Amino acid sequence: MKIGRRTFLRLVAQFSAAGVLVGFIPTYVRSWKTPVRPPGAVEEDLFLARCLRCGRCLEVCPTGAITLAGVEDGLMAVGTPTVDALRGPCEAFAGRCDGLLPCVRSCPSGALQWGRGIKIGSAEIDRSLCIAWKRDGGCLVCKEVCPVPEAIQVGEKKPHFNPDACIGCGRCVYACPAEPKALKVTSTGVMRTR
Amino acid sequence: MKRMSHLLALRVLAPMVFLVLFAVRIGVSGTVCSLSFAATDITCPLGFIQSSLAARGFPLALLVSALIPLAAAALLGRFFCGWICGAGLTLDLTRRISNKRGPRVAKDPDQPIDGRGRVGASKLEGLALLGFFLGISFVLGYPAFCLVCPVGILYRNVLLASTQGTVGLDILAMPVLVAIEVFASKSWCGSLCPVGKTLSLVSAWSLFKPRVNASTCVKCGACAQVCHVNIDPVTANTTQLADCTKCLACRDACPKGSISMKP
Repeated sequence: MKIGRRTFLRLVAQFSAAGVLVGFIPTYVRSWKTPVRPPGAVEEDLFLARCLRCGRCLEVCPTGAITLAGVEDGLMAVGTPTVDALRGPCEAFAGRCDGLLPCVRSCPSGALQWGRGIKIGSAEIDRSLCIAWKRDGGCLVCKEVCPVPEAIQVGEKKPHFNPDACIGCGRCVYACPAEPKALKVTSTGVMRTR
Repeated sequence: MKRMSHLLALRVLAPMVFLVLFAVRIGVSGTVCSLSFAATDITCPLGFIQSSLAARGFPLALLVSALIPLAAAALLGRFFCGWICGAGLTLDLTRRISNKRGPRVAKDPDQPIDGRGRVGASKLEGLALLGFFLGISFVLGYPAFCLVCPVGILYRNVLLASTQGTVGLDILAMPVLVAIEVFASKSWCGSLCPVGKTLSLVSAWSLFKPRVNASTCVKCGACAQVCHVNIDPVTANTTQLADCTKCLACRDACPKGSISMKP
């Protein structure tokens, strides 16, 4: 194969332009936010490196909680799994998946691995939307569905969230009857393995 | 327009059947990026290489699952591109519809010229693109091509659509690629696609290749015209034949029946 100077310069120009597009933009765009990952996800850097974006964890999730990140979650995360509590709760702890973790078992790449403790994030409450906080009591659905005894404490008929105990499963979010939901799960305080 | 041949109908149908299989998830689970079939894991070799470069390591099981399609390609060639890949089907049909091909003069086999006399991407550009994505994967630490891979995007969105009834914005990459194929005529499948290129690298000595019977061949060029990866079966060498997707279009097009695919 003979490469003329013109061809060579064209190639160099094309690939540097492509390099800027494919390489560096996602690197900066990534730092927007860390999505809530399925249980057993390794540290975010390693996770992004290993994950094949194949979607197998999504397919096996019994509660349908796993969905795939889109362009809006940062270009680097496109196609990676995230847990969306609005679709379903993560039942990795005290639920259908306890001790089974189908998402972890289905992962071929080692991006999801058996971890020691499960904490995929923590729930946050917006008191201005919460029925109990607005009406001075009357609704404790979040407390009823919460699998962790200390995560939600009741004081004066209102829920108080303890982000340190919360595992981020999102059962409270899924069950919250307020419209719009008073609760959301973020990746704050997540425990991830190396 | 000419009547659609049985072979073409079959080749259009086959990738669609696979898409439907992945959508209804009978027999297979996952996507072509990584799937489970008959309790065996099969992983896209390019995804494996990129992930290993990005993470500086790999689980042994992942290596085994990526060797399966590589071994299949070494034995049978790039049949995946011709019969299974849904993105390949889309682009092949695009080329068929957009290119009313006239007689083609293959002056330099590394610079394919299509029916409109436009120069497609060369093999060198294809290899450079593959190397580029591998480099990006290693340096920046994520499987860079997987983010933009048309094959992966198509199957990911089929999975999303069939399980959750939504599609991602990344599906827009498909019409973009179709537009590039129509207006720039780069021959994505034949020259550029890094997945296809990875399979090409191991399939130079595969069993099935178009073999031209020189005693009956009249050098009419019909086979070269129909080839969607720009191979001229009459003059092609081993390196060029590595790109063959076993689509059998050349055998079908030969007026003399001079082309055989038998090993």
